[in-house]
Amino acid sequence: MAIGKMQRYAKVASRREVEILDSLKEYYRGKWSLGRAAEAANIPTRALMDYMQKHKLPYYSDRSDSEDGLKKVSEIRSAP
Amino acid sequence: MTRLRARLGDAAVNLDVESGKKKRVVVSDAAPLIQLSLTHHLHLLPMLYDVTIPDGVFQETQHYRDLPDAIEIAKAAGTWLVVKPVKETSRLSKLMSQKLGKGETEAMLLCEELHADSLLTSDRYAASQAEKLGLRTMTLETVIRDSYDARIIGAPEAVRLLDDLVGQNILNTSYLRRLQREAREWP
Repeated sequence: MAIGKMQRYAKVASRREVEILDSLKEYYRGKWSLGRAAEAANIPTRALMDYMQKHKLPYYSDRSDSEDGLKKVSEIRSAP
Repeated sequence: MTRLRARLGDAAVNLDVESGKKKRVVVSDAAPLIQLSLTHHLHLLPMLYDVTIPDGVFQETQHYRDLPDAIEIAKAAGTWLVVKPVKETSRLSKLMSQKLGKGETEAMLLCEELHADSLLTSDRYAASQAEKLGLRTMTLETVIRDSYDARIIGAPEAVRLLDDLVGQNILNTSYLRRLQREAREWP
């Protein structure tokens, strides 16, 4: 029972992270603002900033930030 | 530096008595306030500008009220940081449909309403949308340069601030990394 509950929590958490990463992809492609990315991922901007800090993700300002951000997002996604 | 606060009707204008210069009116987005607070440099803003934020931006900074940055920004809102509602809410949804967040959109509208000198934002996309509306934008790079030019901070403190922003990944962008290298050469 407890394991089932834990698995459900883990599933929700990983789904939430996928939403964050999808939103960040749009942000790094220069299609969304950071605020919009946070809203799309259903988290406060402050939480998204925290996530970016934790994962050493850059802020988008030019092509090099964009490439670095997209690369790191895909690395997080493919991590086990 | 002595500053004179003169009230002209509804508008408060800060004057630097020594230079006679009017302080620039800046509307800020949430991220720069949070980033400056996290690096213990939020106090730079009122020394340089008259800063106003819309309700939506203030709320964004207060999602986690117990965090030190939220507490510091709330305290500032009781003193130098002016929080104002946006009057022209009819344009909110149209602007938000351009892939902007609520806080960023409100900041742009307030910037227009107040005829502010600049919108302070750490977001390139929001800045580009604001520029399409004819607004001038600035980043923390300008804040750091202005602080150094006004001798509010010296070169070592500017470098420390940049090291914190970039090194702790609070605001890691290519323009700040460039400024970080440049500031190491400042006298």
